[in-house]
Amino acid sequence: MIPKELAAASSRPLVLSILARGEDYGYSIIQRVREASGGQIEWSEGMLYPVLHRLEQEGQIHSFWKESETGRRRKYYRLSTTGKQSLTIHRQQWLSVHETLLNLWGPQQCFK
Amino acid sequence: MFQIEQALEAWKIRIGQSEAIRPIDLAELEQHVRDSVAHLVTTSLSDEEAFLVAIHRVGEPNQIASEFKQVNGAHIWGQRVFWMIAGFIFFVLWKLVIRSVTLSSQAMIALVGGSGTSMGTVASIVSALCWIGLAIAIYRWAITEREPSSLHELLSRPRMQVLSLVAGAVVVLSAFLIFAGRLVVARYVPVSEVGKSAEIMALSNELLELVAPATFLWVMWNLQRKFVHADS
Repeated sequence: MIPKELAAASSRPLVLSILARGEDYGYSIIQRVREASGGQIEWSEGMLYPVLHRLEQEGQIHSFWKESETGRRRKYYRLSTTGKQSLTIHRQQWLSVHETLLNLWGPQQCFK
Repeated sequence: MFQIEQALEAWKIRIGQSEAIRPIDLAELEQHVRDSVAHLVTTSLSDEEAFLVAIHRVGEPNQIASEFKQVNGAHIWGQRVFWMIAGFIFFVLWKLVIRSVTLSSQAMIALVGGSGTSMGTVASIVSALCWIGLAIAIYRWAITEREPSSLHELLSRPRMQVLSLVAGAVVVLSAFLIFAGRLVVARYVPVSEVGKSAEIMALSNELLELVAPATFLWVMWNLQRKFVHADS
């Protein structure tokens, strides 16, 4: 299980990556993160919304209300152009962290 | 029997108590819990179990509120400024009400042929009673136990139309009473008696303006002791 701090630190690139695949709403984003991480990343779900709202304030994502199949209104989010650029930067940064760790651990650790 | 709608309402009240969470955020969180419950009941959990798991996953109200506080700063200050201005408007309206009540009482004394001294005295007493009444009303209103939802609803959805209508009605009614009062006094009371009455009222007003801040400080002092220190 990924510790809370690391889950929080990776919340932005995770959200942006999921929205890069298409518009989505809060509960579904959490489900996708859970699936993609094989259950390793469990958020305190309420904390996703402040992250989404902050990203929206920064113009990285846009939100809109849409009626769901049950007739209730759901808030959807989609990536903006700024968000796409920001995701590229996140990607470079996380990959370089990843590469650094791989270099330090050496190939034998990776294949264990 | 577990009622999901009631449980959701109760949960929303608990979450919505924080000024950091706007009604629109609450709607989004509510939909989240509904989605979560809908998903969890398919995994052989009962409604109640699904609901408990869903709200547990959302997190503790305090924790959520502190996360929201970081993004909703402007909203929090907007609410505070709103209530400061509302307090100011209320104060101005209250002064209007007092003027209209004291002038009406003067006019009534004048109509039954009272002297300037009695007019001034009665008006002073009426005015003092109004201020004391306000201090008591504020204190009682603040200490009354009430459903947190009603206060939160008031805070989050100020019914501006109703408030404006009430304020407008108070202004119109006060204006009418003040003008009518002044006309009656001017018509039925000799100038010397009006002077006496005004003199007494001026004296009592000076006294009230000295005492009123002390009274309201006392009210605030008590409220502060009751609510702020009791919690810490």
